[in-house]
Amino acid sequence: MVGMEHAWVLPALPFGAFVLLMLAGRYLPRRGDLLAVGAMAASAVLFSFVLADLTDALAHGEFQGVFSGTDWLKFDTFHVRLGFYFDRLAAVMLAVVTYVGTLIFVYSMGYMKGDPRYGWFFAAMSLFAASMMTLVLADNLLLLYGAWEAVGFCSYLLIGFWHERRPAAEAAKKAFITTRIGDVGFLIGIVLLWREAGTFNLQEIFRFAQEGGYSTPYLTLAVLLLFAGAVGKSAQFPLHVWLPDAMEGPTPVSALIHAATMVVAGVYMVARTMPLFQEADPVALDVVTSLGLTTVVLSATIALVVRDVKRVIAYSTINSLGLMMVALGAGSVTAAMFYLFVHGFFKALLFLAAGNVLHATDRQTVDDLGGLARKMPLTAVAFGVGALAMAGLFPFAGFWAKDEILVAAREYHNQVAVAVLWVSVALAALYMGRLYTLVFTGQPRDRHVWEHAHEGPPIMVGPVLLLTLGAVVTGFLAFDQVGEALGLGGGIGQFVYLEEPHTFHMPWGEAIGSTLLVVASLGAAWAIWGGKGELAVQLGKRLQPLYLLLWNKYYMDDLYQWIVNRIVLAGGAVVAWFDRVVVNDTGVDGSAGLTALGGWLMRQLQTGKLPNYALAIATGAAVIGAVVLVSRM
Amino acid sequence: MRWDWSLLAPEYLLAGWAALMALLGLWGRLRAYWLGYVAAAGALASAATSLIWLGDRTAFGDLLAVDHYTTFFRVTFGLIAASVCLISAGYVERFLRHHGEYYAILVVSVIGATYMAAAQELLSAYIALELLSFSLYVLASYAKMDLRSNEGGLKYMLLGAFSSALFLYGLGLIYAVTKTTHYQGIAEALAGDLGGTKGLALLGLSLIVVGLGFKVSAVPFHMWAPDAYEGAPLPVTAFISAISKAAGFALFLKLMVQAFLPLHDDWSPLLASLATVTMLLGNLVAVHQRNIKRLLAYSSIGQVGYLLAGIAALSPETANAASAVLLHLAGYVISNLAAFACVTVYYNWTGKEDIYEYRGLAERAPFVALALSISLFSLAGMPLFAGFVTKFVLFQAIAEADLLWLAAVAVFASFVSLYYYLMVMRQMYLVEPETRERLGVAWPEYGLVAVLVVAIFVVGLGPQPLFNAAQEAASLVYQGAATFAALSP
Amino acid sequence: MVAELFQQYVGVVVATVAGFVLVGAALFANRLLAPRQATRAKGLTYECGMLPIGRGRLQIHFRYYLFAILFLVFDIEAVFLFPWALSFLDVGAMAFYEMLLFIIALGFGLYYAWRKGVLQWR
Repeated sequence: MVGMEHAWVLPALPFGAFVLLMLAGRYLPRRGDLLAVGAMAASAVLFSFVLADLTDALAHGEFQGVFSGTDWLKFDTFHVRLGFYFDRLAAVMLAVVTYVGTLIFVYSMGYMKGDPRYGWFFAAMSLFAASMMTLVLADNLLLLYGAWEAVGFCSYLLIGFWHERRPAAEAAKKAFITTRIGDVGFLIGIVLLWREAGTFNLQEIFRFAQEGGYSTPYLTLAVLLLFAGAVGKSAQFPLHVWLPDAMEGPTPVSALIHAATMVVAGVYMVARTMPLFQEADPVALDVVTSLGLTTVVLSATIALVVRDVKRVIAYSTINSLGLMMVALGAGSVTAAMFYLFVHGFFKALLFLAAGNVLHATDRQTVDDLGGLARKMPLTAVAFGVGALAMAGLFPFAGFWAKDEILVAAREYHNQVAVAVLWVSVALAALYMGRLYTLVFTGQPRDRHVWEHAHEGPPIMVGPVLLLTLGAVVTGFLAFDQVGEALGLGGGIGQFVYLEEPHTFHMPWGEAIGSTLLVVASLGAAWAIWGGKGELAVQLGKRLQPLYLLLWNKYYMDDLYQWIVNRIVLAGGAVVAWFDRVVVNDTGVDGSAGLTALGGWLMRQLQTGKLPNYALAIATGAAVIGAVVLVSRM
Repeated sequence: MRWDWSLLAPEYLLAGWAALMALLGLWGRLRAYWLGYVAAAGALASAATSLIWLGDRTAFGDLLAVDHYTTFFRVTFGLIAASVCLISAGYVERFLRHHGEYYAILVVSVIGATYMAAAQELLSAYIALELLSFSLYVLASYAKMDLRSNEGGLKYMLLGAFSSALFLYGLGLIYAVTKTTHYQGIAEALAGDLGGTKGLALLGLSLIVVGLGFKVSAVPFHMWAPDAYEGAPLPVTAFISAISKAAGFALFLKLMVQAFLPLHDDWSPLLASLATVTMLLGNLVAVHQRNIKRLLAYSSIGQVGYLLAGIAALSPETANAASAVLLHLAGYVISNLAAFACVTVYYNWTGKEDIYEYRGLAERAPFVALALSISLFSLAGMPLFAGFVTKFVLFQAIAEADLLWLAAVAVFASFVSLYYYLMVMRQMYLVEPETRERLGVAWPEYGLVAVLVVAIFVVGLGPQPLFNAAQEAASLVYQGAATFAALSP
Repeated sequence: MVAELFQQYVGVVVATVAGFVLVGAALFANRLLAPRQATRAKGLTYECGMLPIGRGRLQIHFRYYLFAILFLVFDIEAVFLFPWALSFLDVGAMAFYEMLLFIIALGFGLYYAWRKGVLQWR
């Protein structure tokens, strides 16, 4: 019988596929894509069994989690045990990774068809899937960090998949470096936690913290540093700038990595380490909340003016991630994980449907699209469902998850958060309505493109329709009855929770209020951007300063560029020379300029002349001798 | 005192094998290509023979110890030599002359390296050091018709002689103070009251550090390394980067633990500052290299910095830092040999060694590109790969020895190193190749590369066996020293 | 004890310094007192009063170097062989075999050099 102790097989399958593809991909039929998809599907099936085993165990009483692992390193004072930990939190995340992942893999077979690096795409995607599952299952911070870096590296490879295109290569670099800034904090946080507890194991660290092993300021610092990692990975303000650019990657990559799984890894990590946040000073959770709220406002407003279809969805993703962080800040792991779960489905749906549009039209901005509903009815319906789920209209999945967050914020008595969230609900409906209206209704803006548009092949439409179903039904997991029917022993509130399970009560106030608000916003969107969109043009002129502010993304990219240019590359002519010769020629980022300068100066010492070398040795010896002798006196 | 001549059997084997290689080369019946395999078999046989003494603790007189430490290094050196012989097979046949001699010298040098690790007293250590060095001088200038090879070899020899002189002078001063050349005797004498001669002892110690610093190419005694690396034939570069570092540190570590531990407080800051300079300079200058051999030369200087930091972190109380140094040494050797094997394979195909010539290698020879990336990742210390574990343990040991700042510098240097390793990978994966024509397949070399890559992963994922070996080797070195730790003030 | 070692060498140091001073002083005095008139003939190489033929620089054939090396090897061998031969009976059988091995090793080297064609004058 396959049980929870076999959870380690889940990442092993796609990893095996990766190795095989790298070694023998060329000799496999169809470059081995079926192998990658098959491994991913096998993971999904296996996960179903593991989940069934979990529900069995849950039905039989108290259940904490299952360890499986080995000693990795062991010597007198230092002992590292690496292993997997499977519990309900991991199950929710794995459901997204395996189920949504499999659908996206299948979709990729159609989307990537004919690409010169078709095999490499599947190899990298498999590696990503394996790393992601390892990240979810890791029972200790060291393995978590390793997998964390690995998914980041895969993301780098896949954003830059079409690296011949300059923007793609730039975006990959930007993503890698921006997230790395957060990762440095993450690593330091891990080291801080380890220094005191002497272990990397999460459960042991929790126990250590609960027994008061850390002083409160120390722990607060440590968890804030952990959160810095999440800020980078989950594209929170102020490190959110990389995610919209990451849309340069192929659409399945955007769907899998930059919507459904990797970007929510930060949310997952904070949810995982929530016991630490609770032990720390409340200020830690306040930071989480306020950064989440800032992110929500920034992304929801920018999304109103962006003209690139995929980037609008990217900003909606940032918006969603902000919502999840707010939920975590309110201490509600349930709400965050529920949103994470349904978000995986409807956001992947949005991306894949947008991918269908791209595939059919080869256009990415709304200026070239419009009226596509007549040409691509299935995609239009699917995208519409996804958009409504994101907007949070009853009865789509987003509705239930979003209401959970609204309730969590209300129960946490955070008036600011509640107010901002309501605004966010209105904005989300507005920009999703705008996007749908601009792409699928009205008159085509580019007649030629419109005439050549057509529905995609079945292999691409199929997964989209399945995800459409998911975007409708996953929300019903909020109901205890649905959960019981599935054998989960209750709704999501009974399944994933931090301290106490809670049964589901329909929050009538939030439900009715948000439904009305969403309907009103959608109406407004139709009124502004529908038809010829004259109102939109007028508004743009009337509110030009605001429009420009949003169009320039609050000038944050420019600010960062300025910082890089002025502070990192400061120093006049030498550095300017560097910018030209080194930074551009070797494709170095600005931050490496200083490193390069140091290297150049030191290289001047290497003259190639023998007497100089001998002199260096003699001088070195003399200095060492002198220092040693002088220090004796 | 026991003179058990059988203890030196692995070296008799090597010496015999060297004669055999010379004769085979002389008679010329065997194709030059196969000579590499014969030589590799000899090196492996010697490594296997040394396992007879696994777990023993004996000594040849009071000159050479045959214990875990020696066995650890006999096996390491044997494997290094075998790998280099296999790397050489294709290269030497095509680009060099006097094939038999080449392998003979290579095999002989292993004897020198082994005795550097095994020596129990300074003079034996010095003679072993010279045996290794002379072999390497000859090998470095083996491409007789190549001016760069001559230049590199000559610089290496002249500066080597200079540093040997300094080493000898230091040795003399130590003898003057302690009246002995035996490590244990030195430690006993140094632990006692030195009176006014302590300054002399420290001066001698400094000169020995300079001499050894030259052999392992620590900054500022590193300047021969890039020139010699660039000029030497590729497999020789691989050999120098692996064996002269490994043997140098084998001697360095043992000397510091067994002879100079009583002066620990005096030399620890000295080595810490040498390590800092070495790490920073090696890694920073590497950023600017355009030739892959020079890049690897500077990267290895950076690695030497980490190892020196590990030696600075040696402490009288625990053997942790010592075993961490041994572990990282093994990890470095494996990763570096894998990288050089890939570079040699590419050179055999194209005769090119500039980094930009690697553009688009992923399309032309995906296996080599992948293997090279893996070895560079390992050198950079990325998780999954050997380099991560070994660096992790090493930095942890350094941090535990209250040298947190040094560990921080090391981490910073590692971040810098990732940058220039990525530069090579960028060429291979992200830049369009000149032609899409696939390069050939070199199965025997692929086999070696595959073994080394697997080793990188084995060490990266399950380092415990290697760690146990390193720990036992290190603890044995310490057992001799432990008694003196009590004596030291 | 090392300090004593140094004291013993004080005389040597004094002698060395004095030597340098004396020679330096003699040269300096010579320079002061002697008249100087540089002519071309004075700058020529002195060869027993005859005018030198050709350039002063002479190339030695590289091949001598190999012979010199081989000669040196056996020269050094003699250094070890004589003391061994003098105390042959005292040092025992072990020394005999060691020396045998030594000679064989050198013999092997000579054989190798011979077969490589070092002894031929080409």
